[in-house]
Amino acid sequence: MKSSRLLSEASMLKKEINDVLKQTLFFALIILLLPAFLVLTKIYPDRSYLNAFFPVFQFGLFFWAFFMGASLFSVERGQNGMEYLLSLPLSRYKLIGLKVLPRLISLLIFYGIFLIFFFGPGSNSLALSLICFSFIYFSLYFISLSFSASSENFLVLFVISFLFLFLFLGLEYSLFWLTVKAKGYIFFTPKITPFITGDLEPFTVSFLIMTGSCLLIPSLAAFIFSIKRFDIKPPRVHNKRFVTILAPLFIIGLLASLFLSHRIIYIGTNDYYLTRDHKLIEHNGYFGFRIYDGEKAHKIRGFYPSFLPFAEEGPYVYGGGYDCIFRVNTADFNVEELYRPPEGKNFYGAQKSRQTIAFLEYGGRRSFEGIEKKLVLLHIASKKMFRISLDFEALQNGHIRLMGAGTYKERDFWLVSIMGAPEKGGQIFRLWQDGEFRLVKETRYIPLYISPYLLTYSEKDIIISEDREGRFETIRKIPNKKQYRFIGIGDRPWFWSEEENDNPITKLYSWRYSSKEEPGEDTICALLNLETSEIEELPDVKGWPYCFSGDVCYSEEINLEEKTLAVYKIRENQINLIRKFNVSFKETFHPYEIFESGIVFSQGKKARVYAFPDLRKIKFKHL
Amino acid sequence: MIRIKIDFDSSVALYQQIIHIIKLEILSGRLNNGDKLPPIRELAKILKINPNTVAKAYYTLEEDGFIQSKKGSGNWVRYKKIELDSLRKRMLEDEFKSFLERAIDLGACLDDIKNLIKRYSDGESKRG
Amino acid sequence: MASQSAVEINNLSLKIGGKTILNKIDLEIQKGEAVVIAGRNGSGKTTLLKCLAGVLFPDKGRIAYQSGLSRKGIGFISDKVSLFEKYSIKQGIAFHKDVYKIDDFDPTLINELNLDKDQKIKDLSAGERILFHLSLILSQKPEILLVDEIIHAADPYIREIFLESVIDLLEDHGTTLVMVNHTFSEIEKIPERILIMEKGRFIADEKSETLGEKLKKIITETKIPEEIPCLFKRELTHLKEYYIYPFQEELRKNFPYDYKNVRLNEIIKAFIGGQYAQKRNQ
Repeated sequence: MKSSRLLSEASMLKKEINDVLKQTLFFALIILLLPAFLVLTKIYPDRSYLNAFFPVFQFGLFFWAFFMGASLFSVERGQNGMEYLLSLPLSRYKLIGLKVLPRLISLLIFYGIFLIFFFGPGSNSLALSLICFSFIYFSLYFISLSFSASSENFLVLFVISFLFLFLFLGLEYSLFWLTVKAKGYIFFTPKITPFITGDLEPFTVSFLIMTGSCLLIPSLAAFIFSIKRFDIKPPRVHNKRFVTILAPLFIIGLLASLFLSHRIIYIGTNDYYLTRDHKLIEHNGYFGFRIYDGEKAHKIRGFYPSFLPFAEEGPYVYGGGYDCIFRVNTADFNVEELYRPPEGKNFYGAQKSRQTIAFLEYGGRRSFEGIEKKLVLLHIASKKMFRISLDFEALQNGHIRLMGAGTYKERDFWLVSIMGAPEKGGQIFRLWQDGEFRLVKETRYIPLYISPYLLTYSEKDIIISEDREGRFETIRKIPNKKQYRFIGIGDRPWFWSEEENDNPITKLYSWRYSSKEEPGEDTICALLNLETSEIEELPDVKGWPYCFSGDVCYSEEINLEEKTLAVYKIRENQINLIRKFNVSFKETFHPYEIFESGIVFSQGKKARVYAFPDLRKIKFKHL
Repeated sequence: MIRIKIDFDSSVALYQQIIHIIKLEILSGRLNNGDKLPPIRELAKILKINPNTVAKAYYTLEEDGFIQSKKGSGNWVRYKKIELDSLRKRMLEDEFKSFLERAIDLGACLDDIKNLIKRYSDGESKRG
Repeated sequence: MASQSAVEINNLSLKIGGKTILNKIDLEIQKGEAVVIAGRNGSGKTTLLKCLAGVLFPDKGRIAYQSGLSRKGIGFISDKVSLFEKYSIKQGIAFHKDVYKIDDFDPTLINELNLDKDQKIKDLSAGERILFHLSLILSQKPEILLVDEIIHAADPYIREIFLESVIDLLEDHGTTLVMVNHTFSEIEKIPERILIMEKGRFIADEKSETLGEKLKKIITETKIPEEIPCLFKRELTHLKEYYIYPFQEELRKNFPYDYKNVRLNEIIKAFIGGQYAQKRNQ
């Protein structure tokens, strides 16, 4: 038998595998016996073996990661074999490589076992989240590997490795904190607990991996380069070399980490609003507002966790989420708070008509069924509020929407629709400014108010009523065999704001629900001529109509297979394709939003803006 | 059988000493023509010296015509009688010189030496 | 690099912790040469040997080996007789064979000592371990053999076996031998060349044949003239010892002292002592 057939490297590898195997068995034995010991000696009272096993296993694995990294030379050192080892006919790199390989594999095998436990039994007994554990596990290995030649004393290596680990974790946290602050997320405080519990944003994982690598790779690289000259001189010679290489690499790694974390960290989602004059308002719950006017980016002070814009007038954009109602001045970049709910109260459904903002205020927690509700009318200039109790029984059930406002014989009124469950339909009430509340109509489906007309639905017809003598009188009934629903403005199809029309609306577009009550491919658009009461089908119109005024109507057509968005201009029954976009519909939120002046695509961190009428791209500096 | 005694303190080079000893063995008749000399490594091991030294001695002996080395089989004694006689004469003279030096060092004079020779040669002839 | 050179060292320097251990060493060793490096403890001999073995890296300078020499061609026994001690003899042999890609292992030495192959290496005595290590190296058939000062740890029986094995190696393979020693006994005459190291440099480099001729000792009651090159002297109250180097025959004519021959141990002592004398006079 020719032993020369076997490569020198293979013999060395065999030896290393044997060494690691012995160590592994020993470790496995301890890990299996220790929980039993803890349970039997009542150090872990009231626990079963399994419950004691999992935490022991988890923390034992940290020690194992350290050991697999640090024990590179422990076997040889422990038996006077260092000089023999270094005089073997293998280069230093090969020697180290053959030592690292089986240890790395052992590390990965135990990680796999951990994963089995994590996703299987005992997942509740493991204290740390998967990301937390994995991060510490692998970092500890690479750290202790980098230091494995730095001392002959195991205890010293232990202390150094864990010290460095804590330094490293602290560095990661500081990086995160610094970046968050540097990016202006002034309202976000990085916390450690989510890391332990695993309740993290997705970008945190990439942040940890990328910045962790940038900081760990220098240590490994320095180790590898120093190993070339590794010999039996005292460790401090190696350490001097090691630190000399490490220092500059670490600084580079740090800079790279700063750069990467700046790119990676995006907290919260950005909401966008495009004004009529093409200013882009960017809102993020953690950094507040930024307004881009094409040339500059203006930061706005103040903490506004939510921004749900509901009206635009002149330079003002009105918004209200769950926190307060405010308006942003896009000319001087100030924010003015208009209403903040008192203690114990919440609001929703803000809408603006002329100089009044109307919304619903209710008490109690976030459930608005069966609790005291008030309709609040807020006068913008004076900030005076006029509250009207909605005590009617009918008003206690169903979803309240403010459909519109008007004036009749110098009396202001608001129209309120209350829709119940889909099978039940709803009612429309008129609320006069002095508090008088009257039922106006009943409707099967969501109604639409275009002053002075009110569109309601019965099972079979569309009913058009006109506001006469303070009452809505039916003037026409149009058969609605195909069950069209006619829409109003933008994404609030039940509402037309009076002031936004100079031209009276004479044509309404519809969409039609498919049998599943969801818009689908069999949607056909129709046109309702209010003057003639005729419904004209528009089979050529594809997608969803989106109207901003009587003349300005677009259609948005989404093709999920091709991943495209096509935007058409609709004029009566004619459509013209304006532009087609490639869109990724991966994210759960809508990757784009259509505004009167254009479309804003916001996917992840970048926003792109295209302006009507031709949907050319507008450039915003600093965006 | 070879009586080998190396004087490590002597200033004479080792290989020279080995040559000297083997020549003595040959002259005294303890080694004869055709006798095999110990292999280089064995002599080296016995004397605890570098085999090169032994090799050098054997090589010189071969050059001087006292041994013959056969590749693979070793070193053999092989001399011509004439060579031996001249060697004997030379070595005798060397020994005598050394003796004289030591005698003078003792403080002896020529007469003392002559008497000594006479006494010993008479004694030898008496014994026959 | 001459074709007959086994090893060539140029300007080799090494420092540890600010202390110079090797000081710009130049050395050339021929193929098949047997060299001993002698000197006091701490002179750098072991360090130099370890550099030759590739176990230590110098700070400056380079070491060139004969062409075609692989790492397997170097056999090295360190002063610690380093081996994987937890292995049994059998396992140690198997590992060495595999790593050095050796086909046959000659168990003669092991059998000489009647060693049990299942015995662990750490349980061997010092001498047994030395011989075992040597037997491993012999199986490599090394072109260069480096042996640190270990032989004094063994008993005379083992020393003899060791030496005879080395002699066989020199004869069979023309191995270049570099030994480090500070005491000499039986091995005195194996090396053909003697290098003496002191404080990281060579203070003597002579053929052993001629060294005996070049260094002599005078014991006298009076001081000797300055013209005689004195390497080292010891002047006691009555007697004075002078080590003369380099000695030439002419000196006998002009200065008819009794020039005694000196053995290797004393030669080394004289060289080292001379260094100290120089230092004192500076």
